[in-house]
Amino acid sequence: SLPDQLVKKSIKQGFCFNILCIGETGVGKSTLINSLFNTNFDDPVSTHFLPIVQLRAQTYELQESNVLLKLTIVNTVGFGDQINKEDSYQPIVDYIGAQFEAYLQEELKIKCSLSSYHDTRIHVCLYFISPTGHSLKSLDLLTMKNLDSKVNIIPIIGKADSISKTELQKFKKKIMSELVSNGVQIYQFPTDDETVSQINSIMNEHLPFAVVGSTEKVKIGNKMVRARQYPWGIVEVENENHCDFVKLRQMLICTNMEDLREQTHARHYELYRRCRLEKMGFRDLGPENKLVSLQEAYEAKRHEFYLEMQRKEEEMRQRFVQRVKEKETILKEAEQQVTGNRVRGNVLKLHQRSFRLDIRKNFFMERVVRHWNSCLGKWLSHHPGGV
Amino acid sequence: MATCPELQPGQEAMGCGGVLATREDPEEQQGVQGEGPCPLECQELAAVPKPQVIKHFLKEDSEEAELTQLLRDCPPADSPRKVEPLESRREPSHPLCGVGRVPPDEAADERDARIFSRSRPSDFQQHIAAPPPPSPNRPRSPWGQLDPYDSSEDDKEYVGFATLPNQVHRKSVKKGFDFTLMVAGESGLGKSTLVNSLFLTDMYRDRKLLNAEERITQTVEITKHVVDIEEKGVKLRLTIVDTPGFGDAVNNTECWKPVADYIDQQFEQYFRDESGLNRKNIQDNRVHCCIYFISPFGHGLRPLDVEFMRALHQRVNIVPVLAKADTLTPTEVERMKNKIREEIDHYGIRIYQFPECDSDEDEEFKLQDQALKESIPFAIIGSNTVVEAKGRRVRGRLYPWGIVEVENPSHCDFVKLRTMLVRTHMQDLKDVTRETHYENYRTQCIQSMTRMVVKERNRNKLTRESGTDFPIPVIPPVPDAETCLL
Repeated sequence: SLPDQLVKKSIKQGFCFNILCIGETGVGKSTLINSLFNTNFDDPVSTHFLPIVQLRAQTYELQESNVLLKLTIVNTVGFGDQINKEDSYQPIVDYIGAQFEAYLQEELKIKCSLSSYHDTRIHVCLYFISPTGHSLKSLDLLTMKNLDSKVNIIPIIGKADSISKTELQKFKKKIMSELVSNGVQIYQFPTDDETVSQINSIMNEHLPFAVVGSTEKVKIGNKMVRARQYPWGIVEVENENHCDFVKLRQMLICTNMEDLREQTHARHYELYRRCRLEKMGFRDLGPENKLVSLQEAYEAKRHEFYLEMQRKEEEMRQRFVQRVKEKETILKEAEQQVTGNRVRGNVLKLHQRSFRLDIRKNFFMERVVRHWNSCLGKWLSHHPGGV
Repeated sequence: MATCPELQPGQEAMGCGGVLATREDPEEQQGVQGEGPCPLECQELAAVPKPQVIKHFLKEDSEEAELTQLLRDCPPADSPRKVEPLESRREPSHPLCGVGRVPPDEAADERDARIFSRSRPSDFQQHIAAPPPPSPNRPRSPWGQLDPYDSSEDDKEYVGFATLPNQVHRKSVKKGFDFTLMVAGESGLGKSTLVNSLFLTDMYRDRKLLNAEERITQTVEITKHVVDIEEKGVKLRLTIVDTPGFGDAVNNTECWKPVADYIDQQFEQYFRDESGLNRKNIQDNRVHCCIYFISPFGHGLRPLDVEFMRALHQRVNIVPVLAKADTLTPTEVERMKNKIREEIDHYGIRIYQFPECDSDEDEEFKLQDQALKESIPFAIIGSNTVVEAKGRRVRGRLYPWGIVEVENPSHCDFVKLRTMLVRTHMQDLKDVTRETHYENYRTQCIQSMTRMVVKERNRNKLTRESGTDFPIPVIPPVPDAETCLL
């Protein structure tokens, strides 16, 4: 049957999933990813003293049963460390935009091969909230407001073993109310498919997930489980009473991974593409409200571009000629000064002066030519494919 | 009967009492001493008694028990309130009290004379080898083995000023103490909870926490809460200076400036008061200690922490603490502490150093002191709620996986911090503030003033103006909201 064929094909192709983890240094991003995918991805501990926010991407190939997964984890490095955090979200926005741009370019290629293209668009953004117990931080709000239209955001509370149960309820409520009152669109698990709608709607109530991660295993009973051992007790990562780790894993990987990918492609990417093409000057509707095909739009654009280039070239030529004229008059005046100036006497000096003037003239011409060439070259590089 | 006409009227009662006492002595002590000691004692009234003479009494074991009984009723040098009733009671029931008499050419102060007289029975106790009963009001004397009434050396000559610490103690208890503590750190690290836990108060009942969008451009405020606490007769006026809004905004450049300005302002005010004419009621608002909260969710210090501490370490004693330490397992705590200590050294931050303990302190104290020094920064957990753990009610935090006890030394360093801050090092913190930080400020101030005066003088040389007016620099006052809880 058709769905089976599709499934077989996709298994053969392998799946691709890209996660972006945003959070302050030390909030537990790497540990959580290690726990989620049950491997040790070996991320080095980063310092607090980086001047700007950077993103570090690493790709892994995992396999479970006969399903191949190409997983890319992108981590923010130095987020929230700087004293002035006004531009902290910008590198992230740029990175997401760059991935979309790469995909768009691939799509627009004449010989595009999307099936073998490694899709690096971010499918989900796990936003780690610091467990202060009060509310969101100002940086969190700012960043999420700038990202909610570009990527699926799932907010989670990192290192949640420092918040007691009652405090956690209050904290979660406060966070959600702040997100709602500021119009931040976080990812809602889909409730339109009946098989998963019930569980998804329950999970939506538990957002943001309070998670605990651990790379160490502790023996409980006769099993080794991921846990953190304190003098006053042991926090088990996979115990639903202790934290929401199991919920996150289920929602993120087991149930909604495909939906996340679809949302990224159908909503966020499409939005990006439309904005980008509009910026480039393409329209769906022409000047008389007629439907314009891409090819016609492209032709019109190209013509416009060409005219522009010609105009600019003409302008440059004019300017160049004028400058040459100016320089020549200056040199002529200087020469006259030299020849008409016999008071200083020394014939040798006069010869020197005229010699220098000649050199200057020669070098000027050379410089002008070089300058012209470089100007032309620069302009051409800014407008590729214009000529 | 020896009458000493040169007695001052205030001491007359004593003299008579003394004489009476000598007469009663034989009665109380079953007349063993008879007339012999009386003239001896009279002699003692004018001169320092020789210890050898007094050893005489030691032989009378039968009286010892009774004497010790009597002495137990007579508390040693204590709050002056006790002085009045005891004076009146002294004649009948305290035969020995009157013997101690100040030679008339010493001790002009009447009260001091009384103290002196009171101290004599203690000396006698010493010689009769009865330990001084610790009165309920007087805590265990802090000078340990140096308590003059504790040692068994009874062949030392004494004048009696070994009791000066006692006098200081009395006066200070009467005056009461004051202490100003500043807490600084990002929101959500548990500052308010810790302050409430440390001093067992509830100071932040009505505070309002801002929403995230309001915090984006928040500025740092300085708030002051004053609380009067009393414990075992000792009064403490505690001022807590809080810094809400620190580190909350998106752009935190120079957010420590209001804090530094506040501290300088307190110094400046004290300096003015000190240089003024009426110095009777100077209120000391200088910040004695600043507890800085380091977040446990990172890998050590952050740039903001470093900048803050570097801006303030010359102005105030900084005690760094690791907040919300129930996030960290014991190994992680160790690692974090080492990292923070390393970074503090690396960035040249001078936090508050514990004074070296004297070489003649006992081993236990030295070990304690060593342990204290190695625990910096203290890893603390605070809690305002009491939970039931193993049948006991303790301050703690209740989790599904266990209960964290705040006062359990194996769970966190809260006890160490409290001991250090309140029980052992409070006075040292005040001393360092006064001697180091305030002096630095004062030096800077005077230097800048003399520079200004010299400039003035140079400018006014022609007009012969003598620049003896020292202009005191004015820093614009930082608005601070003060709430007083009595």
